[in-house]
This record gives sequence, C-alpha cells and structure tokens, in this order.
Amino acid sequence: MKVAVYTICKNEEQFAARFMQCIKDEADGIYVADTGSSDKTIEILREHGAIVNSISVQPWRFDTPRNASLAFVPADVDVCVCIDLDETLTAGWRAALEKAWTPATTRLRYMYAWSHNEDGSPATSFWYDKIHKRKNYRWVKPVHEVLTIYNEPEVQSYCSDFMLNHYPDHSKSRGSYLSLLELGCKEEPNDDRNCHYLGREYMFYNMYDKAITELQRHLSLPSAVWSAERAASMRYIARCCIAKGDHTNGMSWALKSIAEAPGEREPFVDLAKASYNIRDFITCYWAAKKALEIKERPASYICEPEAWGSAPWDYLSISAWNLGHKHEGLDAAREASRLSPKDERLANNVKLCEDGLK
Amino acid sequence: MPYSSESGKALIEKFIKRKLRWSCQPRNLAVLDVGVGAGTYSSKYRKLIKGAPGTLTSWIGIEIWEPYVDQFKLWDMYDMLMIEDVESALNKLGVVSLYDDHKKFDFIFIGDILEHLDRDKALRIVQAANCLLTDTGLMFCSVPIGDYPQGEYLGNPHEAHIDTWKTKEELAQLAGVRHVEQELEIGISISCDQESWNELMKPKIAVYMICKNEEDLIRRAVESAAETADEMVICDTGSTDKTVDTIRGLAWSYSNIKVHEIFISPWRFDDARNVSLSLVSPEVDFCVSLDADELLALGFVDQLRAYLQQHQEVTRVNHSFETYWNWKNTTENPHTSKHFHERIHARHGYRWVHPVHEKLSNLDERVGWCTDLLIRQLPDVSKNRTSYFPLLEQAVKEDPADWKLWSFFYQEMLFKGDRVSAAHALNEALKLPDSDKAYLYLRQGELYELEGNRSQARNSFVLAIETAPHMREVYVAAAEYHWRHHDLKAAYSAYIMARDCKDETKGYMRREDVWDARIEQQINKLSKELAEILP
Repeated sequence: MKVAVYTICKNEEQFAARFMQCIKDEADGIYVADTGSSDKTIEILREHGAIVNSISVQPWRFDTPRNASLAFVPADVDVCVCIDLDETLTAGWRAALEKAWTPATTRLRYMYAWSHNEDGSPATSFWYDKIHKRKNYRWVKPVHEVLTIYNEPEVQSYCSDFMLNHYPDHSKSRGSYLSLLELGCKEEPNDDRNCHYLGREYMFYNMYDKAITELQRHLSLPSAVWSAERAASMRYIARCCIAKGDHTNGMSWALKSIAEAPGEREPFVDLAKASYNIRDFITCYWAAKKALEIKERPASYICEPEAWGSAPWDYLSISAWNLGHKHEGLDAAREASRLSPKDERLANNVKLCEDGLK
Repeated sequence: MPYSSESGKALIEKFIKRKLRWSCQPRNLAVLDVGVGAGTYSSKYRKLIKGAPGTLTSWIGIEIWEPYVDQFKLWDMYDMLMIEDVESALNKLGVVSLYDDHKKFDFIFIGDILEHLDRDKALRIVQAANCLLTDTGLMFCSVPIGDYPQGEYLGNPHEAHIDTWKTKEELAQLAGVRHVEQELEIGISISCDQESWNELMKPKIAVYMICKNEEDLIRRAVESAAETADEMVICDTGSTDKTVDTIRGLAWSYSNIKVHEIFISPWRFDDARNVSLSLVSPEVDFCVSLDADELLALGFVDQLRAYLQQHQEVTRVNHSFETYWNWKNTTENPHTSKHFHERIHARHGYRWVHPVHEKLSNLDERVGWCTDLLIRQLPDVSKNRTSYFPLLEQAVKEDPADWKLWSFFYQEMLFKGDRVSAAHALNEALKLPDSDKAYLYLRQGELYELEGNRSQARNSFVLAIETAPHMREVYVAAAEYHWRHHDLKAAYSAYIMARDCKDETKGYMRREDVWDARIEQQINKLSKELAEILP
C-alpha cells in the first residue's frame, strides 16, 4: 500500500520542521502546494524531502488550492492523508492506518485533538475524516471545505490507534474568513452547514442582527436536521438577543435549544447563564443541575470546553446559595474551583461560602 | 521618526516581485537603503529580495544618527553600514561605482528621508542615488504628502521635518522618475531606466494548458506560443503516449515552459484547468487558456499586449476562434467555422466552473472584444465526444440555473435520439430568466419540425423572432424552415426582413453565411422559384 501526505501552506516556517518530522519516515511521499510563502517554509519542507509546488489562487478560497495539492499526488498512491502544517500525527500512524484500512474502505475516521489542556491532554477532540483513497475524492466549498466522494458509495472505517493533534498559532488572524463564508452561502444557499457557520461568525464579530437572521435561516433549511447543530444555532440566537439586551427572547431561545437537544449539556449551561443574567436563580439552579446530569461528553465539534469545565458548577453554586441551599452552594463552589484552580473569583466564592456558613 | 508608515509598502512589494520575476539577472544582488532609521526596509524586504539560487544579496545602509545602530541592532540587518551624512555617503559610493560597474545597486530605497532635507539637497541626493542604479535597477522614494510637522525625536535632531511635499506630482521632479503613486498620506515615486521600465511594465502573458495523449498535436500548440509568451504552464493529466516526453523536451528548449504531471480523480475539466491556472506565476498579468488541438495565430501575443496597453480596464478579452475541420485533408477545400471565444482573462479573479463545458467565472469582470485576436482549432475529429455525458449530468446537477448547460444537455439528448428528454431540457432552459430565448426557440422549432409537429414548430420560430427582432440569423432560420416546407411567400418575406437587420451579430448566434454575398444568392434563388409558381 502506498500512502501519501498532501497539504497547502503559506508562511508557516515555525511549523514546517515539526510537521515533516512526524510524517517523513512513515509516508511514501509528501506533496505540498505553497500558496505564496515569503519566509523559509518552502526551503524547510524541501530540505526534509517534501515535493513543493508554488501556486497562486486569487481571490482566495480553500477548495481550489486543496484540489491542486491533491492533483500533485501521483495516480499510483492508494491512500491520501491531508493534514495541515500546524497539526501532527502520533508516531506509528502509518501502521495503524494500514491495519484499519480494508479493501473496501474509501475513507478513514480517527480522533482529532483540536485543542489541548495545559497539561498537554486533549481538550476539544472529535472524529475527523481527512484520510481517503486517492481516487474519486475532491474538495468543495470556499471555506470549511469538505471532501466529497463521486462515482461510488463511501465506505468509512474507524481507527483509534493514532491521533491527529492540532497546535495552532493563535496569533494568526481569521482574515478573510467571514467573506469566504459569505461567498460559500452565496454559491450554495441551501447548504445548512455553511449557513450555520456564517451565523456563528457574525455572532463572533458582534453583528447580532445579521447573526440572528442567518441562524434562523439555518433552522429553516430542510437539510438542517442534526439536532445538536440546530440547538447550537438556537443557543447562538439566544446569546445575540441577550447581547442586544433582549433577555425575554434570549431566555426563550435558550429554552428552545434544550427542547431541541435535551441530551446535550451545552443548551442547559447556556440557559443557566441566561437566567443567571436576570437573577432567575430557580431556572439557573434547575439548568445547572440538569447540565451536570449529562456526564457523557460526545466527540463532536459542537462541544464547548466551557460547558465541560467549571461553568455549570459555578452557576450551580451561585444559584444554590441564593436559593438558600448553602451547603450545596459551597460544595459546587469547591468543585468549580477544583476544575479551574487558577480562577481567583471561584476561589474567592469558596471563601465567601465558607465564611457565610460560619 | 525612525519608523516608516505601512502606506505604500504593498505597492513597493508588488514592483519588487515583478522585477525579480521578469528582469532578474543570474548574479548577486545589491540593495542600498538610504536613511536606515529602524531598518524597516531590510526587515520588510530582505527575505523577499532573493536572486537566482546560489547568488547572494547584500544590503548596504546609510544612517546619520549613530545611536540607532545599537538601538535597532542594525548590524543584524545590513551587511555594511555607513554612519554619515547621506550626501557624502552617496558621493563616496558614486566614486567607487565610477571605477567598478559591479558596485551599482539593483534596488535603492529612499524612505521618508526627503522631508528632512531642504528641497535642493533632496533633489541632489536622489540624483546621486539614481546614478548608482544598475541598468535594470529600481529606486523607490517614499515621502509624506501634505503638512506633517515633526520636531526632533528621541534626541535625534535629524528627525525634524524641514520641507513639505504638497502633492505627489512634486515627486516627478526627482531624478529618473517613471511612475508616481499616492496611498493615504504617503507618496511613492519609482525611478528606473526608461527602456527597462517599458520592458517591466509590458503586459506579461502566460499560456496555460492541460493535455492527455496528444503526442500528434501538442508540439504544434506549444510552439505557437512558446517564443512569444512570457510563461507557459503545461499540465499533463495522465498521458500514456509520448506526450510527456515531447513537452519535457520542449521545456528543455524553452526556459519559460513549466511542465507538471497531475492526476485528477474524479475527472473534471474545471478542476484540471484550475490546477493549471494556479501554477501560473502571480506576477503574470493576463492568461490564455489553450488546448492541444489549438494554436495561437501568428503575432497573437504581441497583438494581445498592444490591446491590453490600450484597454487597461478589461479583465477578459473575447477573441475570434476558427475551427478548421478538414485540416488533415489538404486536397479538399477548407471547411471552417468561426466563433468568438472567452479564453483570455486576467491572471487574478477567475476560476473555472462546471465539470464539462467548463467556463471561466468572475463575479466582477469587465469584458473587452478584440476580434483581431485569433486562436485556430485544428481538431482531431476521431476523438470520442460522447464519453463526457456523466460529467454533463453532474454539471446540470451542480448548477441547474445555468441555461447553457441545459442547452448542451439538449444537444446530447438529441444526439442520442431521446427527443422527450431533449424537449424537457429546452423547457428547463427557457424557464431560466437569463437564458437566450431566441436561440432556444430556434432549437425548439427544429425539434418540433423533427417530430412533424408543424404548427408548434411554426409557433416556436415566431417566438424566436419576437424575442430577437433585430437579429438577422433568426429571420433566416425561419425563412429556411418555411422554404423547406414550400411556403415560399413566408420564406421570402422572412428573408427580406432578415436583410433589413443591419447590426452584425457577435457571439455564438452568428452565421457567416448570412452576412456575406450568400444571403443575396439565396434571395435571388428564392425569387426565381417564387416567379415560377406565381401567376
């Protein structure tokens, strides 16, 4: 079996050596489309044995250059691994891949650690799927580009014996991301994923009215059926309403998101926060308790680290305390502080509770 | 201030890249930074200014204020520093260059210095610096435009502004200036030898191709362009014959040819062409997409350059395209057809869409017409044309709002003999608001005629005329229909109306035979037939 790695890059000299280190001994070939580096990225990649072609795509979009980088992978390669320069594969990935790959497999799923805790353990992680057979796959969409199969049905295999780690450069700007998302929605107005991402991005840019319109459009699309993502759209609408000072609609959308996905922790945490904002401690208490009843963290990109950290305990402690359940408040405050040991406010809350109980 | 404004820096970078790409000699490069300050130009452009592999680039800086050397660690950024007055330093360099032509500079930066000097001295030092440029060297002067009073800075008395440059036009007084631009508060002038400036600014043209198993045709296509185009990109998509050997051999003879072997799966024309286009240097101005069975007419690239210099606003140039069907048989009379094509476009802003019947897409384009530009097609008619049908189905699926795809779909269906699907495709196309109704009604009329549905056919031809009452071709099509069905009077009046249409048709609807003497011949022939039956 021949396995090749392919990718695109631009000005990523700080990652190039680390990237090559983790793949060069295990891959049969490494094909990179450089999209205009002016630093030493290309030199470093070539020194380590990558085949680098310089390309230029303007106006920028992600699918066209990714398809170009894939086109440089020779026809006799069996399996293609697309990883970015700010990602690393754990050692032994090649053997694990070959073990998991069956003659029928067209695509492999594996765990992706998108962010890491301070101790190096994965924080947000989920199943990823950018390893695929050489033939019949191409990338589509200007941003959040996805691999799409043609001419045959897709057969997925799973492998948990290696992992892809993401160590990004947080100083990199999001740049033209918003305009690419807008382009994506213009090209495919009925694509639910693009629409959800665009609404979320408007929210990140504090463009609340546009965010609400776009997220409501997401909810109205026939293909928007994944309840966790629908619930996320509802939560974001709630956040936008609250940011605009409209707490009534904020509470309403937060409650709707729970009805949409009662098995997810995030909607309950958002409701706890929304009700805490208006000092509705009864709702806040219920929402925090319900959030904490959900113990299984799903491997999906929707998971928010905040909901799986100290936040629900924090809301539980404040609401319990205010409702007079002082011991429960103290216990929850201690748990919150244990999960976020560096947070001074949480440590102070523990102290306040302890003093109040004396 | 020792720091330099961001304004104008992107412009300077653009010119540096253009020069490095198009007029760089294979020797060591020298850069002079007049008035180093914090070393802005070195930190911005040192990585960028690189000569051919194996050559060195040396940076020399002139700075009057000695404390900056340690403060900004200037020795890390420059190979040589002259800590003295700019004018005396330039004079010294001038004396050296008199004896040794290799002591001249490929790039000279005079960044935010002139406003610190009186005007006479400013003009003198630019004059002195200009004498230090190599024949193809570029000098950039950057000056704040308008009043920016500034006193001494960090104890440096030389940082005071003592002159005001009121408009960017004043920069034209500087020695050797060919070009002046202003970006926000900063004016930039570029000085250069006139001849090398003309060469640098000449539109740069790339021809890009995809090919597969074209060993018989590829040499002819490449040789029609290789001498004159600034760059050629050829992507082989999996030839099993001698095509790759041929193009690699051609790349050996012509240094401007870049050859790549790529593999596209699932096969689509848009993806393949986009890969080829992405490999064209970003410093190219315009691109020509050429196929292996085509060739550029003699003088094509020079004509295109001249056109582009006259029409700097256009992003696409529509051109003539002539197909020579029976070129292999030199004993027959040539059988040709002529159209207009849209394969010449700006390097940036375009991408190919649709898996087959691919077209160039740009949401913000300005189209020019240059009918003198000719691409000839000498096709290999033995190649199978039906194998792309699944791609066409995919194209229609991806973009059902593109009426031309439905029109191609109609043609394929007609070719297969599936008239029901053909009619359906025409109806889908007619439903779309931007479709060419006249064209589609003509096809619909022909289809009804095939089915023997005379009244519907007649109706379609009437609709075609109604939607394009100024187009000669439509009347002629209707006239021919009537003539075929022996309605000579109707045919005659349609011909007369056709002849009254004087605006020549451009584009795919154009029929050469209705714009030359042949239309009169037809009318005469018809009149004779009419005379025979009329009492």
